[in-house]
Amino acid sequence: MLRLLAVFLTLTVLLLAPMVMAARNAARQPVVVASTTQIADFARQIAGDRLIVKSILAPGADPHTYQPTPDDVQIVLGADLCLENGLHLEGKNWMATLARDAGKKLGTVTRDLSPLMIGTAGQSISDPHAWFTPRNAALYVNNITMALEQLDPAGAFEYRARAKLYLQQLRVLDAWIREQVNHIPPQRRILVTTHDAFNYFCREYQFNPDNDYLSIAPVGWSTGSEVGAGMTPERHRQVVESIRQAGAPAIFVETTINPKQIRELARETGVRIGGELYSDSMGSAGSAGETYIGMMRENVLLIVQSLQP
Amino acid sequence: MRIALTALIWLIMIGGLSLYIHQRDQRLPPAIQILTTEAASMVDYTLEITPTFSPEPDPFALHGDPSASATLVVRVGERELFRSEQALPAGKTVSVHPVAGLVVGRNELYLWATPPLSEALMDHAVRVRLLQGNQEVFDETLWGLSGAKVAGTIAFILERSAEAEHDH
Repeated sequence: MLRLLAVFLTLTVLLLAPMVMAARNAARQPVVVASTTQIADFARQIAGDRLIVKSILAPGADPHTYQPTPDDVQIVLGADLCLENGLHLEGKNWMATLARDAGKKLGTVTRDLSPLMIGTAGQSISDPHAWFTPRNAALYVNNITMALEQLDPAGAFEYRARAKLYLQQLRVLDAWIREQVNHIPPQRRILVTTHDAFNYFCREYQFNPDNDYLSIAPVGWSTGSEVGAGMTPERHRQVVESIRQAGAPAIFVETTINPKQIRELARETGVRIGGELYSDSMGSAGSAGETYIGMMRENVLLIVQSLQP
Repeated sequence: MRIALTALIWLIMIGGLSLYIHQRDQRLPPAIQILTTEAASMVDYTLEITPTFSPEPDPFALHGDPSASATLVVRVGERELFRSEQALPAGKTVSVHPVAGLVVGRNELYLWATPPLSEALMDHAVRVRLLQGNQEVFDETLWGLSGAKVAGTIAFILERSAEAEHDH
């Protein structure tokens, strides 16, 4: 009986040895900390299981108004590389501050982007919501790939191979969005959301022609307290006029922002609420919008179903 | 006796699993079998490529990749047989001659081309013909659906014919 047990134990040890080795390797994995859920998703698509990727923002959190916690400081202290969107998406540059205070390297994923300039409050501001077109998302992916290659040169082949696959998925996503949007007659392509997050999307897919193909929203480019951010009575009046003049079939709330303003707008204009769009953050784990591609897909489906005749 | 039986069952289980994994990885896609002669040297081959669209550089290419600026690429194994970095006219046939790198035995042509983003709602195709002199070796069409890159592998085997064996 004892001999039988010894054979079983020997075989079990032989079988478990690779798993133990893998676990030991995992303990040595570099850590990448991203400010937003979108950037974390891009990094995961490229890194695979070779790196540990963490996101400071939880699904549904607002990057404009986010206040870092002591837990965030601990997460960044354990990072080998930090990634931020930049263009002041992270209100008061909280990610840059966290990385600087912890002495960590910071990569800005919108580097080399030609940003959309939005005129607001007498100033011209670079719109930070660039991920809303797959083409810009491709730039994010390229910048992240370069950052990961510098962090872990031995993994460069893997990162580039995964990035190439993901970039082609983004290409297909772009083509699919064009095909879906084509179901909405041009005169019904009116996109009204809570805040000015959808400028890149509107410009790329030809929404809001009467607003220079930029988004229509009661709240400015940020929900924070920056110049041109927040809601003003003048802005509210302009949005009401735009909705009435354009005959918007529906207006949309966003997952990261209190829906109060949009509900008020809906009451005031008599336009129905089409549903909830993912904007500055992706969906929670297990939801259809838990990845970038899923988030874009669900947004487009909701927009198309709400606006088509 | 029990120990031997336990070890035997364990060996059968693990061995069976290993055998299955090994055989699964050995499977290769079916190839087009073509007979050719040794006398017909590789320089007798001509490759004709006809895209139904005007290939252009891919805005979704990985920066720094050697193929980032290419519009159409054909490879035989690791050898690049043809590369265009210009927008080719739709429907125009590009001839590649000679087709270097072909071997007697199994060959694979890998081709990709990037349709314009402005035609994202359309399906695209590239017709690929391999000719030995005037004789057609294969005629295949690769497809890319709804704006996706057209990419595919054409596998074929070039064998020595009995006549060629006899000549030697």
